[in-house]
Amino acid sequence: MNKKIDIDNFERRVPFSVPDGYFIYLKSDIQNRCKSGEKKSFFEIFKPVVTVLGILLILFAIFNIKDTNSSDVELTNNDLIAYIEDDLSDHFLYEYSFIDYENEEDEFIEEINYLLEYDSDYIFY
Amino acid sequence: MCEYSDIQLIEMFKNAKTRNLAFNHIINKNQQRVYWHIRKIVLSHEDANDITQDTFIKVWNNLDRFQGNSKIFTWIYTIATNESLNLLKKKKKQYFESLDLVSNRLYENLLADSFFDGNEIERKLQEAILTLPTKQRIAFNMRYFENMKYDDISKVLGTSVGALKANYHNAKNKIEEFLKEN
Repeated sequence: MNKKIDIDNFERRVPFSVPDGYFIYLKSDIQNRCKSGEKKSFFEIFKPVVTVLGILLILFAIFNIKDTNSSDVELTNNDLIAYIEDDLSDHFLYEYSFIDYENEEDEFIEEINYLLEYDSDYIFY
Repeated sequence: MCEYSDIQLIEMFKNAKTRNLAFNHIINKNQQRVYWHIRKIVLSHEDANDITQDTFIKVWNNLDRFQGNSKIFTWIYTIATNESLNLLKKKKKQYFESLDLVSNRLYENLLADSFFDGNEIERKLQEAILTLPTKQRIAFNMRYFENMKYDDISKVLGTSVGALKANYHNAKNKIEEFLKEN
């Protein structure tokens, strides 16, 4: 048989206890803390210092990033060649396999001029 | 002990000469009730002790700004409830659990707590209450154990009286069902 349970019929006792004399000490603990000031965590004590350091770090980062974005960056010849290669590959199809890149900078430029002159979009060698 | 009204206490508190007297009176009048309210939420005596002290520290620091739109007791209860919920949220983050799964952990701690002195039925009732969502649990405790008026509970939790009544009835049914099945 499922007997209905009605908690209104239970003794409404809170089943917790406290150490002896707890509430006497609690009052004096509270009063002592109020007199000495609010208990502060480590962060709360050093919050102003942490805040200032954080701001300085952010400013430092901003100025460093600004410096690296400056237009005084130097481009090497290899960088320029790589740029030209990328640009040309959209317009021409040809094979470079036989070209020696290590010291063929002038020959490469000659190659480009030849291709431009004949307007070829596909070269076989 | 002389009884003062809330208005008198606030005025006394604002006066530097009578500030300590007013605060002592507030502690005497409210500390046990506030402690037990917190204890029913967090269950552990150590946690309840910390939060009770923090609550009264906040009262000390902010009573001169209290507008008097509610009773001092209701205001203190609100602080205590919020502090308790903050602790549960910290525990949730600590264990990477939902707020309600934290309740399961609280129940396990309760069984191991030397300051739990309930019999089998009381233990089962506490287990059942812990199955409720946190805010519903708090509202239920305030009504069931403290017999607080719905108006006062409404001011503490910021919920309408109608919603609280429905919530309490729903909580009671859940608990009774849990006890029947377990």
